[in-house]
Order: sequence, then structure tokens, then C-alpha cells
Amino acid sequence: MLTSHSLLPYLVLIPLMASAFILVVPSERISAIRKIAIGATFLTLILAFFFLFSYQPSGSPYQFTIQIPWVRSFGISYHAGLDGIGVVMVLLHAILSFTGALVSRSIKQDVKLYFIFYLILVASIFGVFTSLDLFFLYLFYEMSVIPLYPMIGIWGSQNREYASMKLTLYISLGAVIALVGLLALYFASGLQTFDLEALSQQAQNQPFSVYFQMWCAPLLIFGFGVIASLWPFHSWSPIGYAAAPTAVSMLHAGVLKKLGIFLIIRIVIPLLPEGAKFWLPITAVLCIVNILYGAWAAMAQKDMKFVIGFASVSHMGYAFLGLACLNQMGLTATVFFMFAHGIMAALCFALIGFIYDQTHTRMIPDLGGLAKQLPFITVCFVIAAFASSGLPGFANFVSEILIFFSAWEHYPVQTILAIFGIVITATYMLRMIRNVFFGPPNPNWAYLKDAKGLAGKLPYGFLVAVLLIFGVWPSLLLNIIRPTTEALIESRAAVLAQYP
Amino acid sequence: MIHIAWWILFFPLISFAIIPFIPEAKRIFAGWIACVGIFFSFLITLRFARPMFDAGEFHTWYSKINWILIPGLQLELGFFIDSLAILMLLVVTGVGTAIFYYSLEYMEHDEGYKRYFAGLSLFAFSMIGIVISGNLLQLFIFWELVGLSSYLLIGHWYQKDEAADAGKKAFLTNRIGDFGFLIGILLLWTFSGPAGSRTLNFLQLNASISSFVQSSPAHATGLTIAMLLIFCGVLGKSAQFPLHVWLPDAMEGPTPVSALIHAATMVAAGVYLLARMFSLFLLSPVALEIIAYIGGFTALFAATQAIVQKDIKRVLAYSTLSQLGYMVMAIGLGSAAVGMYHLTTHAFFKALLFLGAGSIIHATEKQNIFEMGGVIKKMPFTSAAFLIGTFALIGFWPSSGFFSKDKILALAFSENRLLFISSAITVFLTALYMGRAISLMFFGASKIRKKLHEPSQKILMPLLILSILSLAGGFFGFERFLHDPNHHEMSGPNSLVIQLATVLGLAGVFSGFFFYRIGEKNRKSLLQPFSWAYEILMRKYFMDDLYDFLIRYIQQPFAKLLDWFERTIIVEGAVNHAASFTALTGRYFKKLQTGRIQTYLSVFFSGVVIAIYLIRFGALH
Amino acid sequence: MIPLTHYLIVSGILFAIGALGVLMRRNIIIMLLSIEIMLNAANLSFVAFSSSHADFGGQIFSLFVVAVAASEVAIGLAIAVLFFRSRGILDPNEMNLMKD
Repeated sequence: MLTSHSLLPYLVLIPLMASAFILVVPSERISAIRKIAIGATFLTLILAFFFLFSYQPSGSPYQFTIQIPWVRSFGISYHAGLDGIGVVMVLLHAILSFTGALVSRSIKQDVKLYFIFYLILVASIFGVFTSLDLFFLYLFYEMSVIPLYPMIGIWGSQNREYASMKLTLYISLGAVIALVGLLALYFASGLQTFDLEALSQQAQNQPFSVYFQMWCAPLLIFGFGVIASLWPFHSWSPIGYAAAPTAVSMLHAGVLKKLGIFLIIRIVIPLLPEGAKFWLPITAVLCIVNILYGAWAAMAQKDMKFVIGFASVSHMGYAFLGLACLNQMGLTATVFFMFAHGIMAALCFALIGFIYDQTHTRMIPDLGGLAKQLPFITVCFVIAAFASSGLPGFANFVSEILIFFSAWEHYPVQTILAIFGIVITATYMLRMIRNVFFGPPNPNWAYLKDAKGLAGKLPYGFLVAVLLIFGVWPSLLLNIIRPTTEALIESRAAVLAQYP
Repeated sequence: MIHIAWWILFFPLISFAIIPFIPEAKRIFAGWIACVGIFFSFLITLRFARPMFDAGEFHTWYSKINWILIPGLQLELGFFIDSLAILMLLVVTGVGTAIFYYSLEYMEHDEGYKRYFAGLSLFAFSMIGIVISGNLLQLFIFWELVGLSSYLLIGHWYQKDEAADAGKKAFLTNRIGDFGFLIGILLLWTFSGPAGSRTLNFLQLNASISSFVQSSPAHATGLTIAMLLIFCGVLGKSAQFPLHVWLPDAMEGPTPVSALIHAATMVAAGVYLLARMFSLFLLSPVALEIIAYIGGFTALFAATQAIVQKDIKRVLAYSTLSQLGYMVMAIGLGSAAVGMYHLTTHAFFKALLFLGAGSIIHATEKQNIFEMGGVIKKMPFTSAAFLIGTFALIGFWPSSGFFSKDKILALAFSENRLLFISSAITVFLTALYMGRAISLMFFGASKIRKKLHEPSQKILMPLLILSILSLAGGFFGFERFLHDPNHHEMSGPNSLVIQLATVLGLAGVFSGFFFYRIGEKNRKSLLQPFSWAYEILMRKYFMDDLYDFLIRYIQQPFAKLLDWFERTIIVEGAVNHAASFTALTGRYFKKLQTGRIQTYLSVFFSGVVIAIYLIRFGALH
Repeated sequence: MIPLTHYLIVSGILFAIGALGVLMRRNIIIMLLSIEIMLNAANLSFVAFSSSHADFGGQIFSLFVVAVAASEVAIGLAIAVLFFRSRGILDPNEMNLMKD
């Protein structure tokens, strides 16, 4: 049963072991602790690239699998594997956790504790992306919430108690709603197993009753929708990001938010296709509220992190729109969008964090003319802003345009509104650049120092490079995602065929 | 042959990629690398153009690679080079080379020298990309990228508030146009066939759309909507009414940028798009008519505003708007060839005018024409170049502008009399504002304290080349590129139109000189009754005020409203009240938690006893 | 052979003593001792049942309980000692620092 040579568990084990290792390092040896954390995340990054390049798009749906039975009587086993979507999400998470560890240089207080929590967070998100067993999947999902609470509460900025409480409660609430759905799935299947592959097989041969799907699907969609900040369950997100330390904002906006959509693709569409068919068009309406509401709210913000926070609420609408198409193009585009947006949002937060560390303010009216002191940061921020507003050359453009092309057929009105969302996005992003970086230099900020040297520039330059590479050459990822979504849609073709 | 076509595109890109890595100490190389990049592109273009110059043969080159392959959607990157593309490439790389070279001196002491040339190279790359695109989506990609380079170059002096604002305004106005453009692309894509066999390729689009239109009469309306949406992109990029507002502000950028991007090439990309898709536009006469009226209106509308501008660059900017209106109108009237011809000549003489103006601004450090005067004596060569440009802009024989503008007027004369009248008035106005500018700048007493001298050959050389092209461009046979059977034949010379245009031009120049030089003293009293008109023109027909109003009193309050809604209804109302409800119930229930371990234990043991009793004797038994 | 009932009666009495001790005494160390008595009462019935049913499961369980009891006392006494050192009290009702 134990397929020996899978490297997959190491994605979870390396950060966990590093976290345990940091536990025994004396807390004064800050640079050693940092090096351990950076080294561990770097190892996972190498692993992620290894998975990316050794994944066989034409091979079996789940690769690098490993299965270790755990509690046989309940049908729980540690079952891990990656499909095309998983490979991409693991890559995204590995990139962000590495850069997140790099920018955590600015953490000065309780460094040891911080990195312990950080690595647990990293490990648990890897766990979600790799688990093929609903029990472990949920376990890791909940585990990822735990470190967030202390991390925001201790190392956060303004309003951090309120924000960390709110964020944790919200996400736990979503998780609990989803848990009801997951348990319902477990019992309704009658298989006595949490194994996703077995359940999926069962759902194909002998689908769940339509009635069951109708009430179980919304539990999962909206439960996971909370963490993907589906309107109106989004209000934790801007406040949470504003309060969180930089690396947490990066991981949260970049990866955690995508978990919701990832799990909908992974669980709801294969297991509950009828339910998805009924409920996703409703999210297709809500997502437009997400896009436009988030964008306009971003326009009224004065705090840079709030702008990006609302922007990410707005952007998640595109992912839901692509998801709601329920066809191969839409799903492929959504996965690619999650990747692109994750990198872009993380880049924005990293840059804002860089500025905040020096200025101790994020209020746009207080800043201005920073481009003179911070040329490198300005260039990166301009790139991030243009990527965010869907400029060609960046991965975000490709994903957005693919979402538009696939949504156009099913939801023309929503597509037009979504395209209009891009116009508003460009407006608030450019306005922010204009008011923060351009204009006459402000003597208050004459002391600012730009990112220096390779180590200083690496996290930002790396993210920019990723955006560019996959923007110019999207097929690198699309070819990996496509077979998976194709197989997924094809296996449920009987149900989804009559989709509008 | 076909492989080197890619290099037209890639040389500027390579320059762009190299420039950031040049150390600041050796920054002079950045300029040269950029120049060499675009010059190589120009040489390859010449290689493609030679058969046409030599023998009038028409070749098309076509190649593509698959970029994205998803079931239901195939996006490819490729190039499609026909005579139209070659003409445009010649303009872009040729005028581009001259302006890059000019910038070497013009920007020599600028702080952002490297940034400037990186931006120019990026622009050249994206502009060439637009020209050689083989499909609509690829064109859209580069279309957005020129918007980016335009944003960066307008905001080159980002420390000036005006420049930073202007860059933002340009990009956002274009974005609004592109909003329509993208929807238009999606519509056309849907029209091009049943799911699975759709295309955006220019080669196939024509056939599939015409069969679509013929299949049902209702489809013609659909196509009209699609073409008008695509025209929205042109409204933004080519700054047609009502999205023209960004172009005058864009003059905050360095002058060579204004010459290259905001006069000669990028703003003409819209016209090029119309010409590129002309066969599709022909399928929708309604769309063409609307386009013609918008073009004609913009031409007149902008020309009136040029009369009152004080900044020489703004005079030229409004003039560009007006000339772009001509081109759009010509295409709307049914001749892409005429529009493209004017685009070509306009690129020459407008670039010349901007570079000449730049040379003067560089020397005098002034942009206000009322503060100049007598420049012709001190900078005769530059002034001569500027005068040649003016000559061509007004359209006097034998300059290049004469040939193209005459064709537009003749076309309007035969197609639409109303537009002909407005175009004729525009001719007069053009002559008037240029006469005014010239008389104020070059003649009369000098108001400049500074000692002026001619610039070095790096600035004069491009002026010379562009002067030659402006003056004699009509004889070089550029129209040969436009005899493609897809396009309308150009109408022959119309002597009535020529005479009328020449008379109007002379009258305009004379009035300009009269008001601002000869009759200068009486000007105030003569123009007094028209001060209200002056006010309207200075306020740009209140267009900027209108947009400001929309942003400040509609859009921003709406954003604030949503923000308030978020804070009070969602967060304060729903979320926090749910939280306080929980807290409230908690306050009552916490009394059960005495904190005394023995209380808990007593309760526990009582529970156990009751449970045992129930199991043994009670209901559960 | 002593019948099973006798063991069970002794075990019940021991358990009641322990339970009352936990409930009534105001000293945390005595309470811990009382808990030990309760555990041993349970042990006694385990062993009694085991021998009467000739099943070793009960004895194994009682060994388990002994181990658990030992560790519980170790931790419980340690806490009690630390608490006494820092606050000088042994009355569990006074231990209410965490109460809002």
C-alpha cells in the first residue's frame, strides 16, 4: 500500500521539521533561525519545481501518490497526490512561502516564535493542496487557521486584536459549514471512506441523489466561499490583511484565499455536479458584486493595504466567474487566474510592507514622491499595478482574458461588467501609484532607502519574473492544468452537458 | 525572408532588455543601443519594402505559432505582413529612428536618460507588434502595451504633478476605450463561427464574418454593434471625440515622445486598426457613417481649440487631434487608402513640427508662443524646418500634405457634402492657427533674453530628413502601397477642391498674420465681441470640466457610498452585531462557569447518578 | 472463594470515599489523594471482574490505570507545589486568576 518513493509528504514534513528544529535553537540566534526558515521554504520550492517538471500531463490523473492507512474503521488514510491543478497550486504556494520568508526579515520581535508559526502555516497549506483524503484535507485546512490568529495578533499592526479575531472566526465559521457538507458526503456515500478518489469514482458510477446534491453543494460552496471572500462574506479580508504582518498578508491573499476555490474544484464539481450546476450560476451573480463592489470600495480607501485588500476581494470575483462557467476553458482559466493573482497580490503586499517598514505609515495622503528614493520598489509596484489591472505581458492578463472568453458564452452581461471591473481596477491602482510614488518629492521621506543588493531585491524581482515568464509563456502551466480540467469536465459531461 | 520578419519586432525588445543593465556611468550607451535597435528594424523593413518600391509587387508574409491551446479557444501569435503593414512599419521604424537619434541630444542631460530610452524601445517593440499582428487578440495585446509605454513616457518627469496626472489620464481614458474594444473582440469572436471553429485571425475573419452577415438580416445589426465597439478602442487610442481629452495633456511628456508617440505613430494606431479591419467595416455601412461623422466632428472641434492655445506643443496637439479626425473621417467615408496615406504624410510633417518645436523649446526653455518671437533670425535652420512642416500641415502644393489632404477633401466632396464643408472650414482653421503660431514665434521682436544658437547635428539631422520627406513625400510613391485591391481606389485630383483648399489655406495664414502681427494693435478691439467664444475654447468646450464633474461628483461619492455601506451595514450592522449577540448570550451563560472545581464535580457526579438511574430504571431501560 | 459482590462492595465504598473527598475537602493535595482512591476503586473492580470472568483484559486495564494515575499524580502534585510556592494557597476555590 505504501508507494515508497513519493516525495510528496516532504512538502509538509520539511517545514514541520524545520519548525521543530527552530524550537530547539536558542532564541537569540536570530539569523540562524531565519536561515533555517528560508532554507526550508527554499527546499520546498525546489520540490515544487521538481513536481512541475516531472508531472506527466498525459499520465494518470493523480501522480506522486502515497497512501498510508491510518484509522481503518473510519476509512481514514493519509492519501496524497497531485493532479495538474495541485501542481500549479503547490508551485504558487512554494513561491510565496519562500518570498514570504525572505521578506520576514523585517520582523524583529519574537523571531523564533514567528518562524515556528510561519512554518506550521506553510506546512498545513501544502497539506491541503496535496491531500486526497477528506479527513486530512480538513485537518490541514483547520490547521492553517491556527497560526494565523497569533501571527496577526502578535506581529500585526493597527487594530490587530479585532482583525485577528474576526478573521479567525470567519474562516472557522466557513470551515464548520463546509465540515457539515463533508460529513454529509461521508455518510451519504455509504462507502465508509474519506478517500477522495473512491468517493469520486462512486459519484461517477452512482451519483448522489439530486435532492442531496441540492442541499449539500451550497454548504460546501458557501463554506469554502467564505475563505475565498465571496460577497457578502468578504469583510474579514481587507481588515485582516491590513492588520497582518507582511508575510501573512502575502500568504493569505496569495494562497489561503485560493483554497476555497481550489476545494470547490476538487470536491464540489466532481462529487456534486448537479449541485454545482444549480448553485454556481448564483455565485456568478454574486461574483459580479464582488468585482464591482470591491473595486469601488478600493477606490475610496486611503490605506494602501486596504486598497489591495479590497482589490483582492474584487479579483476573487473573476475566479468565481470562471468557475461558474463549468467548462474546460473556464476551469483552466480559473486555476491559472488563481496562480497569477496569488503572485500579484503577494507582490503588492510585499512592496507595501517594504514601504511601511520604513515610513510607518500606509496612508496614501501622507506619502508621495517616493519614486525618487525608491526607484526599484517603484518599478516593481508599477509592474504589480499593471499586472493587477490586466495588462498584457503578465500572467494576469492571460487568465483574465481566458475567463472572459469562456464566460462570454454563458454570462454575457456578467462578462461585460467584469471587463468594466478592469477599468476601475486600473483607476484605483494608477491613482495609488500617482499619489504614493509620483509627484514632487516629499522632504519627510528623504531618508528612505531602496532595496539593495541581490538579497534585498530577490523577493520582489523573483515575483515579477514569475509574473512575466508565465505571462509570456502561459502554456507552460496551461498544458499541465488542461488535461486535469478536461478529465474532470468530461467525466461529468452527462450532467454538465445541458449547462446553459 | 520569413524568419527575419520576427527580428523587426525583436530588435527593439532586445534593446529594452539590455538597457536596464547598463551601469549609470556609461549611460550614453543606453541611447545608442536603443537607436541601433530600431535602426536594424528599419533596415529589415526596407528589405521587405524593396520589391514594392522596385516593381510594385505585392507580397504577403504570414506565419504563426500557437500560444494558448484550450478546448474551444486557440490563441496564436504570428505576423501578417502585407503592403499596408509595410507602409506602417516604414513610418514607425523610419520616423522612429529619426526621433531616437534626435533624443540622444535632446535628453542628454536628463536624469532619467536610461529610463527614457528603455521606454522608447518598449514603445517601438509594442508599436511594431500592433502593425504586424496576425490576429485581433494579438493586436489587442500590443495595443495595451503601447498604452503602457505611453503612460511611462508621458509621466517621464513624474516629479511634476502635471506629468504624473497626464500619464494617468492617458492610460485611463484609453482603458475606457479598450473596454469597448475588448467586448467588440468577444462579439466578433462569437460571430466568426460555431463554437470550436472560431477565429480572430485577420486572414479568416473576413470570410467567416461575411458569411455570418449574409446568413440573417438581424446579424447585420449585431455586426454594426461589434464594429462600433471596436471603434471605441480607436476613440481612445486615436483620441477621437469624446475620448480626446488625454492627448493635449499628454504634451507634458518630453517633446520627442510627443513627436513619436502622440503625433506620428501611436495615436495613428487607431487609424491603422480601422484600415486593417476595413473589409469588416465595409460590411457595416451604418458603422462607417458614424465613424465618418465622429472623425469629421473631431477634426473641426479640435481645430477650433488650437486657435486659442498658448503653448506651442498644445497647438500642435490639437492639430494632431484634428488631423487624426481627418484620417478617421476618410476611412469612414469609405477609403482606407486615403486615410492611411494621410497618416503617412502626417507622420512626417507632424513629427517634423514637434521636433522643430522641441529644438526651439530646448534652446529657449519656453513653450509659450507669446513669450517667443524673432526666432527665425537666430535659428534659421530649425525655423525653416518648422516652416516646411507648417507648409505641409496646411497642405500647400507641392508638400506631401497637399497630396493626402487633397484626396481627403475630394473624397468628402464626392461622398458627403456636409462633411466636406466642415473639412473645408477645418482647412481654414488649420491655416489660421498655424499662421498665428508662426507669426508669434518666428517674426517680430524677440522676447527672449537668452542667447540662442542652433543645436548640434544630432538634432538637425532628423529635422533635415523629415523636412525632405514632408516636402517631397508626395513624390516618393507611398500611395503605391495602398493600391491593394482590398481597399478603395483613390479618387483622382479634383481641381475645384484643390483651388478651394489653397484659397482657404492662404486666407487662413493671412488672417493669422493679420491678427497677430500686422493688425496686432487692433486685435483686442476686433476680437472683443467674441470673448465668450474665446472663453469656451479656453475651457475646451467644458469637456474636462464635465469629466471632472463625473469623477468628482458621481464616481467618487459612489465609491464613498459603497465604503460607507461596507463599514456600517456589512461590518457594523451584520457582522459586528452578530458578534455582539454572541457576546451577550455569553454574558448570561458564563454565570454557569463558577470557576470552582468542586461545583463542577458535584454537577458531574449528580449527572452520573441520574444517568445510571435512567439507564437502570428509567425511560432508557 | 470470596464472591465477586464483596469486592464490588469494597470498591463501591472506596469510590464513594474518594468522591466525597474530592467534593468536600478544601486542600488540593487531599483532593489528588482522593482521586487516587477513586482510581484504585476502579482498579479493584477491574481485577475482580477479570478474575471472575477469567479474562486478562481487566488486569491489563488496571495496569494502565496505575500508569495513568502515576503520571497524573506527578503532574498534579507538581502543579500544586508550584502554585503553593507562587501564591501560598492550596484551596482550589481561591485559584481563580483566569476568571475574568
